[in-house]
Amino acid sequence: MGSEAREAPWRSASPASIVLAGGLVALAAALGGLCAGAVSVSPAHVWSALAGGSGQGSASVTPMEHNVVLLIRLPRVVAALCVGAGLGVAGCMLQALLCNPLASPFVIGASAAAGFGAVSSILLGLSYVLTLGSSFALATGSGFLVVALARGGGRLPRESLVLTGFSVGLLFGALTGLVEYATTEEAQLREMVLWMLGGLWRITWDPLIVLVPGTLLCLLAAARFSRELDLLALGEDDAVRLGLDATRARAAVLVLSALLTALAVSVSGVIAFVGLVVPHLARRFVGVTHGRLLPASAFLGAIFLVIADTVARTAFLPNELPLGVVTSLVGIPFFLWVQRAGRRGGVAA
Amino acid sequence: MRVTLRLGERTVLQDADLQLRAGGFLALIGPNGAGKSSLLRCMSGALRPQAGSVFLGTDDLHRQPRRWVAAHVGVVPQQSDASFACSVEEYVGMGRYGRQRLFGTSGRSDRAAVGRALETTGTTAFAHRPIDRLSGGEFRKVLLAQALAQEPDVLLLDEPLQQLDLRHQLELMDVLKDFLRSGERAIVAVFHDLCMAARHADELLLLHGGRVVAAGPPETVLTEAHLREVFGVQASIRRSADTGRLDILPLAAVGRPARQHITDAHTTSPSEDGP
Amino acid sequence: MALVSAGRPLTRTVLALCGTAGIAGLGFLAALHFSRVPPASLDRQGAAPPARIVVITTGIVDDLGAMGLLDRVVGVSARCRLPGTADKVQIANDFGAGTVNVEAVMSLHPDLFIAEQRFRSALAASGIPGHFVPDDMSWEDLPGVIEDLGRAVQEPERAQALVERMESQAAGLAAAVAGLPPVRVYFEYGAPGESIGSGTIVDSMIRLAGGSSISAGTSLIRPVLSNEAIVKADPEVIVLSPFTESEAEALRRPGWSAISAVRDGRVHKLSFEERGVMLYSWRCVDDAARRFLPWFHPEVADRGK
Repeated sequence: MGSEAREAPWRSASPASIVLAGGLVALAAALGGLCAGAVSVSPAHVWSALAGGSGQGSASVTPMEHNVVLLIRLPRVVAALCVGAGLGVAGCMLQALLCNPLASPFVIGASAAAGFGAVSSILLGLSYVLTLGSSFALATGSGFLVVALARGGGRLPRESLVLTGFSVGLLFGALTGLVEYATTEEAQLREMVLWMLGGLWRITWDPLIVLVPGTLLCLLAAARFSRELDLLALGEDDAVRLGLDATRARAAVLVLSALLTALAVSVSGVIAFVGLVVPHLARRFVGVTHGRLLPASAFLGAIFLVIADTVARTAFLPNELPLGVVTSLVGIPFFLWVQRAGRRGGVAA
Repeated sequence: MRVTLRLGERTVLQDADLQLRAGGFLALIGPNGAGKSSLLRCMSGALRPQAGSVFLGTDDLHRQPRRWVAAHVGVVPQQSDASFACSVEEYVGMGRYGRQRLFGTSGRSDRAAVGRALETTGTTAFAHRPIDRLSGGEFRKVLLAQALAQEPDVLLLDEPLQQLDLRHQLELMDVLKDFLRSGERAIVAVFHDLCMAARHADELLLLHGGRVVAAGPPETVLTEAHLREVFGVQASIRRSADTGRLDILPLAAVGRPARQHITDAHTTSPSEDGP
Repeated sequence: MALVSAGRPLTRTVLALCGTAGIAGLGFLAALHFSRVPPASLDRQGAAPPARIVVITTGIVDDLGAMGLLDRVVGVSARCRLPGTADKVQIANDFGAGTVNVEAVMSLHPDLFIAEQRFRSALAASGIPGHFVPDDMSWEDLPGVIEDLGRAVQEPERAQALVERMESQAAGLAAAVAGLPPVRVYFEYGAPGESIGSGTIVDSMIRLAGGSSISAGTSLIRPVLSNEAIVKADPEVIVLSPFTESEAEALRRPGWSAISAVRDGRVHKLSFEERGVMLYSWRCVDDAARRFLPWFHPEVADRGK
């Protein structure tokens, strides 16, 4: 049928081919990001710097280019890929879990908890590493907290998850405000505000030692739940009659989403709209089944964020736009377009 | 396969006791609100009875993991939300979840089962169409295909003939007959249409207000007395020459004069408005 | 229901786990490898003093200006609107709490980068030599900061001269108001009720000029006082920063007509150019002498003339 082909052109593609295609486009976007920036580095020099790896011996690459490509742009691009993929997949899973097309990683309170962890750590004057760690720990912990609080009678109903997640988010948001008010040092306050604003402008390789393998592990773990997510998206009655242990599946999916969100937010702060828009966009390309939707969301999220980050740091030189602003400005019109052009949500309300 | 059912749900079902024999086709009939759907949902594991238990063979259904239940009991619900826009083939494939292992993807046996299910229900023609583009009747067939893909031992159907035109109703009943052919499986279906129930089922269970009023072959259950008591209807019950089964013709509501043109209560000429 | 082969599901599981661990492990090793790569140092190592300096901290720009070194500054923060800096490249963005586009800094080919401590990690990867000042400077820190600055730009004598000038001005101020009872001052920073806490530079300047801030009891940087608290404290002088409401609007607040400062007409608003007391530089004491003193103790200022 012609109309269906127009709706989701890669509806019958195999997951492997989606991974391949997505990987190639992501690679292209990454290379593009590596070549763009305030310091002009020719693509040939970018390539030599990458190929040279750690050695500074390559004659054609100046020390400045070496620093720029390997230590400033490359960690940014890699971080954007990981954060984008993580948020995209987390959003996708939550939209299936909550049967709500407006669900996003920030609905379950994980990012608010991450914010609270970070500002508390800043208040206590802890190091950058501990700040990352505490925001990650609190975001993950909030996932478990939501599961524990939403559980009732051995079951984990959807509505309960939504309400609990929302409340937990509000709680941590309020606590964060309190901490911000209680700071006695100007510098701490500015640091807190900077953190909440989000962005990859000061990313180094150190946080990536955890972010990269962590995100990869979580993404691969999410892939294992493709079938469960399909069943969850059908709704409670149908999922159960087809043999799904809804409670366990929901708990696992929620914790996994919280983990992915925690990883992303602890490194990049709160980046809006990626988790909300990317799954919808992915659905327009590959349809609804999660075996294809999860990898598509991951790659689309990664590509989206790399492009957004590149725009953020090159559009208004020498200024740098906050990454959350770019994703919102791009994400909102995109989202509206996706909704108008395709009426089929694909997620059982 | 023997199913022993003893339920003591106070509000909905009271001490409903039934046994299903292998190869049998049991129809649940009764007026609205009699508890038919609830009984069916107890049997599928969706509802837990307050007292009593459901056995499939020697296994207590409610103690088994959901996966096991899905591999043995297939349910065709009365309605299902079709907003998840996957293809028919994928939707039917979801029925295989109960039989798949932890890290398993769709294997050969899964694809074969899906193919057979699609073929039996005549839905192969639109196997690649998204399910939210199907008509009501087509979707009901897909639901049946999904249940069949589970390769269950017992098939439970809640008002399976709803929304199907006459031809498809007959086709569906043929599919159900095929399902029973091996003699190892059983079907329980809720029917609103007494004629269809009488025509196809071996045994009937008449429910009224949560209690089992009668159980057994159609002859014992479908009596004028029962129909008057339970349904509040005066009806004519004859054996049809064409099918060899009972044929029910409701004539008038009890306590109200017949509005139609009928010479006497037991006439054989059909009224204008029919059943 | 018989399993096809007992080994199949198990091998699939094992393969999946191994594959996952392998991919994640590769990512881990790659990130680890790159994190060990040291930045190539862009330090000129020359004997000449740095001639291309990027300064993010506005106060430091002011100090360098006072030391006559403004021509060596090539890049400033976008929030810096000091005179003489209009032609400099604006680096740190304005909307936001102040992030820095590291590459943009590098594209200016600076010899030296001066900013607060919190930018240290962001700048480390660039290889540019950096001089970092404390995030929160108090009045007591200022002389030390200026001396360190002098060493960083290799002009210690000019820094010393500036410090001496600052200290003599402060001594002069202290002498002028010695023995006089401190005047109650309410300094409004931003939102209505938002004042400054003790330990901030503004508070120190108020004290130097013979005043006492009504919000001095708290250690919060920006304590928010309720309107009632302000009226109850009855300040004798009110100073409004350039970032808060206009005088006319402030005077309309309920209960303010009863405040001594309002009755005596001692409400002052600092214009943007007059905000020296709020800067973390030598200018704070200069402006304290020029503005706070006449407002707090007019009799002394007149006598001094």
